[in-house]
Amino acid sequence: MVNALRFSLFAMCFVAVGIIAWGQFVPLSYQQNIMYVVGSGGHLHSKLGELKDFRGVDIVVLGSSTALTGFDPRLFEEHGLSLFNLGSAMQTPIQTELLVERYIDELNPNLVLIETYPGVFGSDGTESALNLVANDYLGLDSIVMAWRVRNLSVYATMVYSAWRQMTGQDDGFVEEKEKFGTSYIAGGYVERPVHTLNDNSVYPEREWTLLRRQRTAFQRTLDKLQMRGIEVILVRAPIASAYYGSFTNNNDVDKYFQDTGLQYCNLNEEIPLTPAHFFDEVHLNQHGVEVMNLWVINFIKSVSKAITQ
Amino acid sequence: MRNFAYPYFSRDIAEFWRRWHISLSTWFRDYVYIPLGGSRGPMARRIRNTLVVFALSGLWHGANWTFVVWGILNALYFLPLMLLKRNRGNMEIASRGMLLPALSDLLAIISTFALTSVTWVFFRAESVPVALSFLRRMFSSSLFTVPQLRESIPTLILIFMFVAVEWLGREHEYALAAVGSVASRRVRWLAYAMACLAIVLYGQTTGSPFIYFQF
Repeated sequence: MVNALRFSLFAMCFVAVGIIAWGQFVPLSYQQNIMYVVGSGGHLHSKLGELKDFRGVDIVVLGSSTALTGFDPRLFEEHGLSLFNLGSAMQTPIQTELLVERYIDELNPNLVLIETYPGVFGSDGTESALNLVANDYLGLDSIVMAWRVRNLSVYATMVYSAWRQMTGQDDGFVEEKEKFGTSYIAGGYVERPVHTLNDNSVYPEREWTLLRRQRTAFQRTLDKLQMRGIEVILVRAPIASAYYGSFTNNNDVDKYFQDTGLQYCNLNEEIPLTPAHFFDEVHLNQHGVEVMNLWVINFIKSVSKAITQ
Repeated sequence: MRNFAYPYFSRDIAEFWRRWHISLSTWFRDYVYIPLGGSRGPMARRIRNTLVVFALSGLWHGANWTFVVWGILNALYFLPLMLLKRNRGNMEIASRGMLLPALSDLLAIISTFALTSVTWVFFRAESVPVALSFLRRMFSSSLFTVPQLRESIPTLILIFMFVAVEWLGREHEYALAAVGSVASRRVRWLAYAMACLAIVLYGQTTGSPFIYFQF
């Protein structure tokens, strides 16, 4: 037993040093499980950098890329509402919970709008975990979040990220506002170019899967917001109608969100959109964002107790 | 019971089947081959018995023609050795007592591995046409192009390390059996820690079904 403990300690130190050395000296193209990318495609680094400028905002948006590229602060500003978009690429409820715990008190919004794209409830959260590990500070909550994701690459990347943060190697990093065809807009929004979806695609029938650990994290997030007395509205952003129609259990998904007892709206059933409003089958282009945001603003003003006319 | 005895160091198919899935081979020998007459009787009967045993062992793996083809291919590899009475030529482990394989052993090992690899294409394919399509592409003109190895270097290094460990321990029941007597605790711990590091750096992070779940 003593030898086993000694070996375990030795192996942990060896592996940690090995991860650091491998990440530091081996080119990224040879990496597999150390996926450390500061300044990734979703502009998370920029978003978290300017978060302190949005204290006391009216609305905070949470969710995956459908939220990140779906809620434009400039459009809300035109209607007298300040908004900070805390959405991020492939953000699952496991990561939403961490972001709420870290930043919601600092942002102190009147209303939290959670975009509930069912696809992320079926994801294990690895991509978003890697994004957070590389672009946000590490803490005990990061370890808990990584444990919930249960992915070797997240653990390896976290060790390497700890080293990078301790040595301050990325302290001076400045993220480009324009990259991969997207533009970062102050307030956390990422604008995509106006590209029209060619929706002649045929999608096979399938069902949304809502993983239990994602549902559990989602409920914990709602509980944390409720404890803080923050109003929550759930919104399911529109996706291309052919893609939406290929899923046979949309009603079951709606019922799950309705059973939370919160205000919930499935915009796929409310807003008539055409392929001309979409960038791809899941994301709106800027035309679609304008239509959706106007609808959501009116919806919020009609149902929200925290946001008055 | 020892079930696999370094089968990929076999120098011919007969030796391969003495070293691969020994429990199953023994069962088929005792309950199918010998009751059918085994190696006794006229040549035609011995050939029939061999084909039946291999085909049945293919079917044992699944109700698909691919497994039957896999079994019969192995039988076709085995029959020439049996007919030439060379199926019991390599009873000892290859290059016993030698650090490196003899050239003749090395060539025999490589060619036996290549032959079994062809049969594995049928074993893993969804159907016979898919397997044939796979083989057509394997043996197309691309066979003579220079492979792009850059991205495969870590994998090749790991493969070399595993093969080396197996080779150096081949005269023992399991490859690492002798390690404790030749390497100090520090060396062993370092090797184990390096294995842990390799898993962390390159271990598969997405699930894939365990191949034998389908059985």
